[in-house]
Amino acid sequence: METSAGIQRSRSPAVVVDGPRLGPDTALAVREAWSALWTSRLLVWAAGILGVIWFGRVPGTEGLDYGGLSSSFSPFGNLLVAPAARWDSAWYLLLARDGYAHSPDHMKAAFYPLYPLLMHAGGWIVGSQLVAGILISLACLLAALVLLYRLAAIELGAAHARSTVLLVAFSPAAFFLSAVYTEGLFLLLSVGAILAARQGRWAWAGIAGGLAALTRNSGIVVLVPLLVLFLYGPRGDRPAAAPRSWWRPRYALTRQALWLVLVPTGLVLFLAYCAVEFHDALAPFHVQHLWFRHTELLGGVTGGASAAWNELRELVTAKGPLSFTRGGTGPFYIAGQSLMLFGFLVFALVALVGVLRRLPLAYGAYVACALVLTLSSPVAMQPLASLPRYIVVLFPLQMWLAQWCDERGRLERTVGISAVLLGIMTAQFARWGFVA
Amino acid sequence: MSARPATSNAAVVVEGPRLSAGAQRALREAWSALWTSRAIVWTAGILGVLWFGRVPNSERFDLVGVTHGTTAFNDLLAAPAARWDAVWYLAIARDGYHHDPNTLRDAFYPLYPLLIHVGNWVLGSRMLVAILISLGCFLVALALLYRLTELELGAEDARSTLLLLAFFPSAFIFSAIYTESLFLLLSVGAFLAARQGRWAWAGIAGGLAALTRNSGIVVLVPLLVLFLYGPRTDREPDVTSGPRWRPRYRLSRQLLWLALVPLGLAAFLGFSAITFHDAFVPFHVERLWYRHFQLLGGVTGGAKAAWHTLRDLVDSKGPAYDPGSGGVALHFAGQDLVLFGFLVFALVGFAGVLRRLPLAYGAYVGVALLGTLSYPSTVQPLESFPRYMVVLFPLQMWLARWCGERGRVARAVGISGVLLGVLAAQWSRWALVL
Repeated sequence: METSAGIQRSRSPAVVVDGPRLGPDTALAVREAWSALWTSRLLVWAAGILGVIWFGRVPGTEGLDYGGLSSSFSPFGNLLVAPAARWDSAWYLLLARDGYAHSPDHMKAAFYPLYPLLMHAGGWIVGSQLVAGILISLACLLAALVLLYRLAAIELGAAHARSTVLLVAFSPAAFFLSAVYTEGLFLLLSVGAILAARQGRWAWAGIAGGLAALTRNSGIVVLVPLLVLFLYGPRGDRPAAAPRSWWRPRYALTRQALWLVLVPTGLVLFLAYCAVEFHDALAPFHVQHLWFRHTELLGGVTGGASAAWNELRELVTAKGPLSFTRGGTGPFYIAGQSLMLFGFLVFALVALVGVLRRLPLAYGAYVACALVLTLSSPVAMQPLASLPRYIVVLFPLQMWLAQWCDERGRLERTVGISAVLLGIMTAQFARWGFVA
Repeated sequence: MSARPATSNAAVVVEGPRLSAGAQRALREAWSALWTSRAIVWTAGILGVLWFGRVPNSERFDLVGVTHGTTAFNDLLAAPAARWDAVWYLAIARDGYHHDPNTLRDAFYPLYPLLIHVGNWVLGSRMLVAILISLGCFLVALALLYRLTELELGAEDARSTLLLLAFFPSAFIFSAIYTESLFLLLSVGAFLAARQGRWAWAGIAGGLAALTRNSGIVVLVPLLVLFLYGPRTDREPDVTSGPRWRPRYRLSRQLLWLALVPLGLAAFLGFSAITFHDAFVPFHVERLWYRHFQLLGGVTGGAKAAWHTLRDLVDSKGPAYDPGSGGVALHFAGQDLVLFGFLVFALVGFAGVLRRLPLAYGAYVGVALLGTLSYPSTVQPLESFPRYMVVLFPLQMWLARWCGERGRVARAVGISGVLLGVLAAQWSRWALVL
């Protein structure tokens, strides 16, 4: 007869090794970010590959792949990297391989150094700077979504945080977030900086902001929301003073604000490097004309609206056939693009109003400054060129959209609408069609 | 003295016929799914034409010119709706069936072109009428589907079902000049009527469904299953115990209404017998469309095609893209893989429907899939499969339940939406995607 002691002995307790564990909030954030990431990226890759196979490469774009750096694999390998390695990817690959040398007209100075530097380092490990670039973007996107979930949960609650993450991952230009572009990295650093500031971790906020300023030309704008958070909050590190008037800061200046000096320092470092390399500290700004950009206060708004109107009129009154048999070469190709870009402008402006009304001031200040900067540097040929790419990283827009949709039970429909555009824009991008 | 106050005139309220609260909710949900999905389908289709261009030689696909608008801009607006079989439906609406038997157009059933023909008297444009019929049918179909799903799964899943259907990758066909939305309306209508025990309406809708497309007769199967096994809301089961195969409801005269379903088919075959002197012309012409009978040949053929093209793609020596657009071998590679993806979804969904929904739904999907997959095309075994399965609404009902339980509805709509964008663009440029 087996005794009860015998039974107990036979049920030996499992040996549980307690290692470091994620808190439940972080675990939830990672889970939500991961599921948004893998589902959206799977579809981005499917749409991109189908785009190349079904729609064919845009004629005459072979010369855009400098040195063949984005097509260095087998035909099948090249097909696999198609949704990630197009247009500016070629510049980042050139920078990762050669640095800023061999750039007589300083065109390379338009591209900031952090991302190609990481690609260069990653290339040592994985043996391909292109693969390293894609992996860096994917990893940054994952981490950015995790942090964004945390940030949105603080401001809006967990349900809206989940929606925010989905809306970012399926936003129409979200394919840039996993491409060999700086968008994934910049999203991580900007969200990280604002989350750190929101929690009162000013050293981290300064470091992330400084790195953001080393990532892209508009990176310095992150300083604005950090300063607003420092002075007006909301801050998780200490309580605000009672408001005396709406414009008066709620928090006194302290030495911690010095951490935020790291943000302009990031930019200054790159400008100093340019002074040495190009003998022109302001080369990143001076070369903008080579990219057909000029300064005109909110010229993108007026120019974009008139371009869309003119193109629409031409479409409506066109006499000849509106379709052509060589994809990406007909006159109405531009019409489609102008109308699409104007749609993005309308969304951005409407959402800016929403952000200003529904989120703390820092978020509105960030989006407004970033938009003013972007819209005041229009491209001569297409005033709103690249707008979808610039606004995809302005995450407060998606935070507002998530709240707006959730309150009205429209999240699924909005994700659906967004995803349809994501599909078609990814396909166009992957075939070397310029979308942003 | 009681005097009526002169200043407080009671408003005269005229009580007209009103929709019930349930019907209003269904219409509201259907409308919002319809307009959002159609707005984006049109956007994707128009961008597809402008960005990717028409497939080379696509002018030859409409030699009779029935899909051409009055202006170039109208052509562009019609692009997401007037492609491929639309030419046949518009030609039949204009000219009827030819008297020579065994022409390609005899494969198309008459109800939809007949409606276009009638509508043309009112509006004066067959293309516009056809699109409006498709949109109208889709709206009502969605509203009825909401009611049906609400009965089976509850309001939350009903809402998700509509969204998943409206944003399904091949859902652009619901607003095209195709029979899919009319058939969806009639099949859902027949189901709902049977479910509520309104057998006359079930028979009429089923009969019209049989006049709409060649697989319409399949609707008879779930109607019979609902009649014999339920669930039915018109009365309690006659038998509550016994083996599973034993019917829960006794045969009654109401069953005769279901004879309208084969009568719908018989009417078309009768018309064929008189016009072509061959009642079975609609079946005989299938060979002209490269279709042949092979039991589940679509499954084996589709899997093989996908495997071979994937291998070709991986091993390909040349660039894996066409410098122009369309009309290359790799174009078919993409298509084979997409079609196989639809097949996998349909089979998984079918298993889900069998497990989670009443028998009638599983029987409907099972028989419809068996029919479709047993008539593969020689050119591409799973050709048109996404179009045939998009009307099998129990698949979306199951998907809604499955996603709803896991909080994945939004993501599923997103996944679906990405493919809807690419497929709608491809279709609008005269590339055959389904």
